[in-house]
Amino acid sequence: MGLARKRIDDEQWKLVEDSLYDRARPGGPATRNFIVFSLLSSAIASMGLLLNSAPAVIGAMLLGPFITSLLAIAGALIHGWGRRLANAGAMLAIGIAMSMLSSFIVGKVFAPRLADAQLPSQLLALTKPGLLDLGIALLAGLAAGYATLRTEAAGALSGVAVSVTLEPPLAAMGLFLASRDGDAFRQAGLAFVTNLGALVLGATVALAWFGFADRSKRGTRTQAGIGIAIWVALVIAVTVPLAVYSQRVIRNTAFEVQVGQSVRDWDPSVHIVTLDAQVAKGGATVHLEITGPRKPEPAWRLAEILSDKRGSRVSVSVSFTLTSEDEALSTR
Amino acid sequence: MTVFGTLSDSEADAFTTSVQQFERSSGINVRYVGSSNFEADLLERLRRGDAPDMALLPQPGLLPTLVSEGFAVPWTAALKASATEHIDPRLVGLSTIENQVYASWYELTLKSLVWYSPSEFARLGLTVPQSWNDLDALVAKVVAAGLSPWCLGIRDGGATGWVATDWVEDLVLRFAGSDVYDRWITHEVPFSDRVIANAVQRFGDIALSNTLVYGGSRAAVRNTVTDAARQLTTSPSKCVLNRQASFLPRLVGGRTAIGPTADLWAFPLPSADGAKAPLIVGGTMSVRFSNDPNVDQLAAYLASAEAARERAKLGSFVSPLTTVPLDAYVSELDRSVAGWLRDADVLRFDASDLMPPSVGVAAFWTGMAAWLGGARLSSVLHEIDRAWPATSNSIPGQVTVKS
Repeated sequence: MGLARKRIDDEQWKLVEDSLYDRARPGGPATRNFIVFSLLSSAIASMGLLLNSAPAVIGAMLLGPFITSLLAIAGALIHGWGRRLANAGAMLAIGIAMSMLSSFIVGKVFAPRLADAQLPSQLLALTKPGLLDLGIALLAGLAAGYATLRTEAAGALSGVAVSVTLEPPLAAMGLFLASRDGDAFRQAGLAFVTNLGALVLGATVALAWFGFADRSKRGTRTQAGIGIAIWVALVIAVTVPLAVYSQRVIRNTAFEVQVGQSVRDWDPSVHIVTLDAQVAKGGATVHLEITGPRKPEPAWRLAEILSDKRGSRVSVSVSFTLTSEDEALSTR
Repeated sequence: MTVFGTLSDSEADAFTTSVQQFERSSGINVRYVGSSNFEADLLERLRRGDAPDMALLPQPGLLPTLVSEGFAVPWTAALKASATEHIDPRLVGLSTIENQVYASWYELTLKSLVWYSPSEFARLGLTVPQSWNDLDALVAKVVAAGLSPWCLGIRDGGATGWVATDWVEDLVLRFAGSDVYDRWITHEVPFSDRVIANAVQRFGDIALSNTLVYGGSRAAVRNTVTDAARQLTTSPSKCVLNRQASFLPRLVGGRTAIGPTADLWAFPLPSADGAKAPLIVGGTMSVRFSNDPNVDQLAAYLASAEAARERAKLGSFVSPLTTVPLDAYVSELDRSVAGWLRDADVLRFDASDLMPPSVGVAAFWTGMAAWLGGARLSSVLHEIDRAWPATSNSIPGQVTVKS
């Protein structure tokens, strides 16, 4: 049974331990490469996001060096290894700083002002993290942990690296920081934190389940307690903001559906180009871009329809573009 | 009951909050619907038989149309008292057509203000000017200090130009006098008349100057109204003065403190000769489109001092009622504006809001924007005159407005 819980032998255990903790410490032999790849992968990811180029972003993910630090953190959490946890955390922090610096510079040079309307779709997606992103990160963490322990699965590591999606949100944070877009920066930050937390959670579960949890290697009871406390904090860090965000997304999505139906009641002749519907404390706002063959019904009437349905204040702004066709023929 | 108007965002919230007490005591539910395209939307609603119960009308110039087309319902004798007592008779004149009162004043805005940063004034050693000569001296001092005196921007989407028309109105009132101002509103004095052209040119001496406006001679058409308001609040200020109405704090937004020793404060634009400054106001009047007793109740409430006090508690509001004590206003700005208005010897309503809409909120705005963008002044003034309708409804202000 491939997925049955099976303790790895001591030789494999030692191999994994050495490869993780020798590389995941500042000043270790891998530090220089780690910094170089942090800078390069984030720069490529930033440019890929600006160009809306999926191949470039995937390439950046392959170059991304974070997987070792994440697995080292996961392993240290299982065993309550405080020093190793601190080292891996410091390495991760260096990588985050280098990546942000790199994407910030790319942003300053190529996109000092990012307007919402011009955001490439891949970059825009990183400002809207959701439950699916959380699911991907959790499974990627599981896969990373499994592939690290099973030599026969090492071929999957490149795929795992692509799934471990820390570079794109980090690159997005740097770009938004460069363009001083605080809201988008916070949203990309949320995407980064949830990805990071879910990846570590997934990796922790995989390492523990597939044989890296070995009682004889554990630290003191206090160290183990600290590990559990950090693990719980990670769970909270991932689930609370994402739950709040997901709730908001679900609410806004339901409202968008309601607006779409109301627009048909309001003026059946118009076609919706873009729709942004947000529910907030004290009321809701709708930004609607429409086209149509004639001037639409006045916006106040749509606001009235929507506030009747919701029983609260609704503010509507409508941008309208006339579509017209003109064909002609003349014969002598 | 539906009230239709132009209020949006925090103003709309404040209005609905202020009528909650009325809703509780009367059992009448008041719904407010606002539109940025108010004038066209209101007429369209009325003409297709979908009239709101009441409207908060910001343009007295629209009232004659509402009356002549039979939509506005005259105030009953019982309501008339609440609409005319304890209000400046010059304002009552604007809501009166052929001796019938059709509206009640709800709110006033003071247009003739100059905003400044008190700390910047202190740093530059400036004092509040009492006459136009003082203002000229202040401007010269600011230029000598290497700074731009005026913040100016007229861009505002579909309403681009209103800041320029407000400037011109203030200058016509100060340099051509209130009599010319009143005759200008009715087109008895046309735009192409020399006195009006001189006032516009006086504005151009500022707006088209490379040294008097931050950003140079084309800054007015490049900047939005909001840009210009915020230029005052940068540290150090990009410019020192902004002639703008009492609602400038709403344009600035954020946590800007308003007061004589706070981030921003204002003084009335001085008169030409050092006398008490003549003031131009804008405002909102309530008009009803139904005889329903519930509408009467709401109309009476909105005209009452009780409603004004409720609204004043929420800030950014000045009532036209002299019975509302100054200490009812929660903000120092509201208190000061109410005081300046009560103290004014010459008070006039915003001319563009009294002119026919085809001129006041169309040709005058676009003409000023075109001129500041480089068009010839004589052609622009001629075009505005041409936009004046051949037969326009009588302007209510003509009935009793006298200084």
